Amino acid sequence: MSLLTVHNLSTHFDQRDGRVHAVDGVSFAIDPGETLGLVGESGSGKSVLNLSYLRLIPEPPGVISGGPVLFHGRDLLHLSEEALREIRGKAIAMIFQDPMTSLNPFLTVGRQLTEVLEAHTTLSRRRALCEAIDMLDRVGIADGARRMDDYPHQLSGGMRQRVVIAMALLCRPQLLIADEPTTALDVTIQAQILELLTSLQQEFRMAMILISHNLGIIAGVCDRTLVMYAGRIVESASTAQLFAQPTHPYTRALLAAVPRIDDARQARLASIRDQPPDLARLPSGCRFHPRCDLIEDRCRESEPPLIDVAPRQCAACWITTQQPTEG
Amino acid sequence: MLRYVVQRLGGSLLVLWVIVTLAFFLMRLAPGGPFDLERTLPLDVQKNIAHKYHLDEPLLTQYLRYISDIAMHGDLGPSYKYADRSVNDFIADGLPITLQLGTLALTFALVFGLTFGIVAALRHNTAWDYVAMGLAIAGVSIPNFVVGPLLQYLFGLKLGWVPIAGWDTPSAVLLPSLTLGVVYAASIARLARGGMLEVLGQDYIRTARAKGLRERVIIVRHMLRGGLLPVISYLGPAVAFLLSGSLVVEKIFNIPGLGRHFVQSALNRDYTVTLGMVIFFSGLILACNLCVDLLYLLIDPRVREATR
Repeated sequence: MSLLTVHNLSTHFDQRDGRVHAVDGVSFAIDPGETLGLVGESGSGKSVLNLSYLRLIPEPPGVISGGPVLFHGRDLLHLSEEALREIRGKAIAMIFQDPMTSLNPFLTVGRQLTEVLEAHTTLSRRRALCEAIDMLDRVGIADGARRMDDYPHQLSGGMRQRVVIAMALLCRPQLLIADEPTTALDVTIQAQILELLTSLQQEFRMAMILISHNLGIIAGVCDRTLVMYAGRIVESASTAQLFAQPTHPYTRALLAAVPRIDDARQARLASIRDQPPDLARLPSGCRFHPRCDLIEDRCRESEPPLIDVAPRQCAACWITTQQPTEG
Repeated sequence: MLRYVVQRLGGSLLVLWVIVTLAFFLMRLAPGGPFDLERTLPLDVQKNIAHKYHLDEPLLTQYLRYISDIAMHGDLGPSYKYADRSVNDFIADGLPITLQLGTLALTFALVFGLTFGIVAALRHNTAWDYVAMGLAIAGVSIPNFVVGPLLQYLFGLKLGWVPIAGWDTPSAVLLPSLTLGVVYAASIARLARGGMLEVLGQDYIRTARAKGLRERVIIVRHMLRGGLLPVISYLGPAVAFLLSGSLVVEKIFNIPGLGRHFVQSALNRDYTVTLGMVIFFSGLILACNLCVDLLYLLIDPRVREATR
């Protein structure tokens, strides 16, 4: 039984120069305790996808359609605002990319921590304070009691992200969505935060969706990985399988673009040519075809479906999944 | 913190001194004097008057006398035009009325400005927003010499609810406060809306939503402080302007406040009264700005850090 099942979710934004399809018919599921990676370039819809089913996208201009998105059998897209509020931050928590901006600069660390417990539990103020200090200790802030009266600007970037993580874990969520949790941090801090996240995940037996454009992070942490391109999932596989046998040309290109320290001949960094498509003016057929090397006529004409290519692996490509040409 | 306040206070006094000095000499540079009449006075009389008011002394001596009178006794000097009145008298008479009018107008401006601005931001791009901002633009652009007579006509003449002018009955204060406050209410509404919208787009508001906080908590605890900072900056000069009186509103409603002295004394070349008004007004502006900066200290922990 999956913890969260997303069916055919779409999000678009109506803007002056057209409709931007940020997420277009995405389906996936995550099991309790599983770690799911979500990779793709900037603007591929990774963040919007997760914000959409928690309805954290401002509507308008955003429009969320499709579904259902089932969490414990309840459709998140049709819950009342109050029922959804009770799930947010309690059963499903989020960590955002930039700890510099995701904490409120006007409020103390303690206030921002305890208000989560105030919103979701009936703990007394004192108990909430103790819980918060305890959680700070777990995320590696030893002098939590002294930090409670600090403001975010008094903490370093790594410390702030630890506070953000503590904030997300206070209610012991079943699902943690970590949206590029290490991107804004120094490399040395990145490893610490990632290690912290995975150890806490095991301790609390949470499922985690880890959004990243860093394949190294995904490879080290995730059981299964989804590859997103221009609002769609183009490939999905166990992480090991994905790295061993990438099927979609975009996945292959992503993997090829990872710089290797042992490959001295490669003087230039590999990259995928051109820019990701303008989501308001998507190319016909396969969205990746203007940047693809394997292109055939049908790639321009119709969009390939996501089909199974191996057990627990599927991809959306006419060529590499060896689908017979019609007729 | 205390050091910061003392520093700022010292700075303000310095600025005030510069303003007084500039005003003193500029005033003397302007052609004409308080005792220039259409018919020329006999030379002896002129000399006598000049001697009485020390106008025959060198300018620098006059300046030093003026400054030391203010510093030692808080005495802004006698009026040159009205022989039995001092500048302090003018202020003592007009200030209470102007203060009342200004406070009422400010209250009105804050209540309506904040409500309209915050609602417009929270209901961004809806009818609420358009109506509130339409009213705000009208409020900013229609001058008070139009608003005043319109209100007088409607509520004073047609409906007869309140007196048209004067300052002697409690209900008489309504129309002038409204007239004076409209433009401030409109500015506050626009600033509050802008500030709130800015905060609304911040990452930390998304975090607050993702934490499952109630909307009311998000607005009151997470949005108001940051969102209303622009309004607070604006309040410094706005309060000073409101409390120093408005010539136009006082004229329209025949209110014996401070505002009229500003213009009348300059036309009369009544040196001391003009200077007194300048000092009073600049002092008020400096004090209000100082208050705003101290408010910032209270509200924004980052500013507090920077002054440590």
